[in-house]
Amino acid sequence: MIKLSQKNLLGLTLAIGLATSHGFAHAEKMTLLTPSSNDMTSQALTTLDGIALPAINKSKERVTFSQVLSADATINTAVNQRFVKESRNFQMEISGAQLNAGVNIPVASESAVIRVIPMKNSPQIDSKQLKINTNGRWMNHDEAFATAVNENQLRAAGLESPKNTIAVKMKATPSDAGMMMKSEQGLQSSDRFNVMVFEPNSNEVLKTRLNKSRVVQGETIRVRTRLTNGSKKMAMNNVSAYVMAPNSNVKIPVELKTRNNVAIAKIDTSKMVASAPGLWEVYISAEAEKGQAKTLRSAKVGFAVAPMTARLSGDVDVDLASADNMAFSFDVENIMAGRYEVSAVIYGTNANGDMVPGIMSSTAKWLDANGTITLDVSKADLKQAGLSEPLEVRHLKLKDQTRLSELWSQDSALKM
Amino acid sequence: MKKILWGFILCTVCALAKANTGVAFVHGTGEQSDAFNDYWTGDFVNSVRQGLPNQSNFVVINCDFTQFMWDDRAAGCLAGQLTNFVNSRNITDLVVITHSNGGNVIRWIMSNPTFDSRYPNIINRMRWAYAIAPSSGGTPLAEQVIAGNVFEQSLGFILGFANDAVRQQQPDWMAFYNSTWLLGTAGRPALPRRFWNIVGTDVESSPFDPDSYCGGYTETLALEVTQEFLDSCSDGFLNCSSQEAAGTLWFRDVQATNGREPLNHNQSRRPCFGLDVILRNNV
Repeated sequence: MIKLSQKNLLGLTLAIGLATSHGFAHAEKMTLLTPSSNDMTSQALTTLDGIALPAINKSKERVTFSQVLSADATINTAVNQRFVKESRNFQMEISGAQLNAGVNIPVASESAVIRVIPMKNSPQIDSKQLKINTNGRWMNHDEAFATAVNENQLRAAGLESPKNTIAVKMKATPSDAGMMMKSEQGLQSSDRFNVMVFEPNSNEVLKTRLNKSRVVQGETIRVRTRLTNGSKKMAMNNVSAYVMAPNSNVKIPVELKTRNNVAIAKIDTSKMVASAPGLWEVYISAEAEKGQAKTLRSAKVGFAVAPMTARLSGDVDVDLASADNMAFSFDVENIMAGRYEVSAVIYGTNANGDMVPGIMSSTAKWLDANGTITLDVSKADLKQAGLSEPLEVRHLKLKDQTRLSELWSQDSALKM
Repeated sequence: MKKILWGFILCTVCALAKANTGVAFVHGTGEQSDAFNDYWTGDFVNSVRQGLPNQSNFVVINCDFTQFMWDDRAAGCLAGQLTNFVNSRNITDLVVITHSNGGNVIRWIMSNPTFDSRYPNIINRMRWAYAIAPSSGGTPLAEQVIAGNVFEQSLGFILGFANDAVRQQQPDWMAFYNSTWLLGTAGRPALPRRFWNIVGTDVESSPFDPDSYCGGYTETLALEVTQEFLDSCSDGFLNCSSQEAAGTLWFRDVQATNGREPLNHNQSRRPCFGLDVILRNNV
């Protein structure tokens, strides 16, 4: 039976045992295992001279941290990597002239929520002067809408909205051809409005999937999008996409190819460099004809592009000889000074012979040029977790804390 | 689950018999200069701190949580105020009570201990966090706020309320951060300290029900609109799934509140239906 009071002695014993069984007299050079196709790594660094990247964290202090993980923890680095977005939304930009004359809003389901947001210098829409036409009959406010609220009411309920926004929840049942909306408040022809529609009860859904939600710059992200009605794919006669950088208003067109009613795009990230933190976003708009009516849907999905500021060379100095700690020194190549963090989970073998997570360790430091970052792992902590050899280093990550990007993510990195 | 927590509490009481306990109240999205009055209300804070051995050992955080969670004005500010608090009062057993997006900011600190040399000291002194209605999985309403501004963005004028904190709390953004920079969600390594969720499950907003007025009357008409964007289980701003996305469920409101009343998103930062007493008895 192990006693806590013998911790130091046991730590020493473990160290000697590990060192002896694996022949690690002092330090030994190892090489990272070959990354799998699911890992995120980079082979070479290219220059980033002259590019303004965000500089979020410029702290120069070396900071380390370790935590003992529960042995029954299940870590899955692929979790949420393939984000699927389902949208029952669409939006249209309409003019005052259109609203005066009556404009088709292609709503096809009951209880739709419609927000009308005046664009610059355009007036607030008076919902009392809105009329709705379905199946050839015009309805006034009370007949058409279950609810009508203004910007302040929306804000009080948690939905901050632009100035003079109104929102209505439909009571009228739309026809197969949608519905007409008309204003009788005498709008200027040049007035413009952003109409945002959400159909919570619609079966018509735009499903968009990215094969990766994060890449190192230069990798390709594949986008698949399809419009479905229940389990059936709808024929899209118009689908378009563009990408926007974080905190930018510049639209980068994306070429979509449609086959079997699925639109596919490859987003080339080689020129994607952002000067602000946050995610890039791909915006999709799709349209399907269905007889006299049409279905509109739009969606957006975020993804991260890490500027290739650093990489792991693959060389690791492993030192198991110390009585107290195991040290894993990872060789970091970088082309931009910054604060970099290496983290990993040390797995060990439990009494049942199973390889289970033991300790998560991380170290960050400032690197002006190529250097090493060392993870120190307490042997006493490992022993306290009931783990012994063989050991593995898994979930190895390299992060750039200055630019806030993940540069390297490798599930299985070292086996000892 | 509650039994587990009580077990933890008993163990903690034994182990920390000589600990110096302190409580920090961490607000949600917004820039606060007087969160004691404006965000929590003094009644709530004063009620909770009655559970402390030394009732002076509390701090109400005032930071700018309109920023991204990692921003120096958000997590950096929080780290500074927590560090001052634990150092000046020699707190060795820190309980952090967060509301809404405040849960994301403390989770940033717990998930990225090497980001700032102040973080490890905070984590090491933490017992755990009570995350009231945390927006761990984001909210569709944030997405709607941002979507309402896409046209404005493309025209080059961005409205102030579409701030970075709102942007960050869109579901796809939180899915990304939960899978990379934040710990504690399914399939990810655990947080270094427990993150106990208190979950709001419903909104009662009848003008004829006096309970609807606790914490301020919630706008009934607009709720009919905003609830369309949310699941049937929500506190009017966050789906239950979002509130439970990270950490460990302590309780859903109706399991523990007086009269089994649900807590809407405003009520969960006010002394409504005994929430303050539950916290008081567990700090």
